[in-house]
Amino acid sequence: MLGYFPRALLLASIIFVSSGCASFRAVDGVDNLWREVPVDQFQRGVTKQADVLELLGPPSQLISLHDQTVFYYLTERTSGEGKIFLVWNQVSAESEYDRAIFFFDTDGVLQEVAYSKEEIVK
Amino acid sequence: MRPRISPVLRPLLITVLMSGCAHLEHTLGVPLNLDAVASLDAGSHYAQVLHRFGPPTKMSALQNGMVFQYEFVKLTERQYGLILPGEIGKWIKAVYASADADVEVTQFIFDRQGRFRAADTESWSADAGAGFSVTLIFSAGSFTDTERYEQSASRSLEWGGALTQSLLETLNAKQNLETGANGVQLTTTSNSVGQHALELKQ
Repeated sequence: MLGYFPRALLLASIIFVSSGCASFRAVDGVDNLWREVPVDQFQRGVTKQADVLELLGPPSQLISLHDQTVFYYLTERTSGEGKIFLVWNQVSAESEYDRAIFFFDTDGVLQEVAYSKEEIVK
Repeated sequence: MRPRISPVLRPLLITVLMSGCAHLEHTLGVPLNLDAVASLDAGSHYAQVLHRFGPPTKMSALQNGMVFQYEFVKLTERQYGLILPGEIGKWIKAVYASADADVEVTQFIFDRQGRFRAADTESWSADAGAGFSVTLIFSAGSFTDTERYEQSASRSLEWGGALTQSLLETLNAKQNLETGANGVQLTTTSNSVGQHALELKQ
């Protein structure tokens, strides 16, 4: 017959072994190809819509303003982890957004460009 | 006579009674630097906003300009679990869950020349819902309905999706708030108000 401490140790071991961990990750949107192109490479007044399309592919969204067209690129990554114990479970998740935006005039010439401060590293 | 519980069984009992308690957290995006928002001068070009804060979460044309909207959401869900009595009950837990949402939204409005006209930031905490569930003992998942906060940012960016929408949504596509041409709405706004009311969504 086991004594008090071995039994308590056995019980603690069972509780510990019964716990678990989990992690998950999902990526949505377009491939963030703009991170491979320095933002300086897109020159205001020079770069055309065709140049951006050739480098980055179709945008996530095309927005029509009054006298401008906007190419809006978005990559979304949700990742998280969980700690599953008998007594206490904890799950935390984070959604990150990597964006690039390009404003063109009526002639399709670049007016403004910006990348998000958040960056999703592959 | 009160029944005596063995000292060895006590931690096991506590463990079983407390099973199912959980803490779930989900952050979407990052909050803006509010000092930088306040320091923006009237008449600044929209390019300055882009360079300080990056592309907005949402944007839209307005009749006399455009709007940038930045959103940050933090969801926190707490679950309180209890093991049900009986032979089968010990493998099943009943869980009550409640969730809170901390939301921060900043809007920038520009005129037709792209000059900054107005901006404001609002932060609030909301009761994001509550739920009850009976499930197996070893699990940790969300039991509250927080979909309206967590919907994918790329959900509305699906090409050709309009072709598969309901008739009322298609008929009212000209007022659609997800095209970037008719305004923006907060992530948490109900589908039964404003322009979406025309679509008679449930």
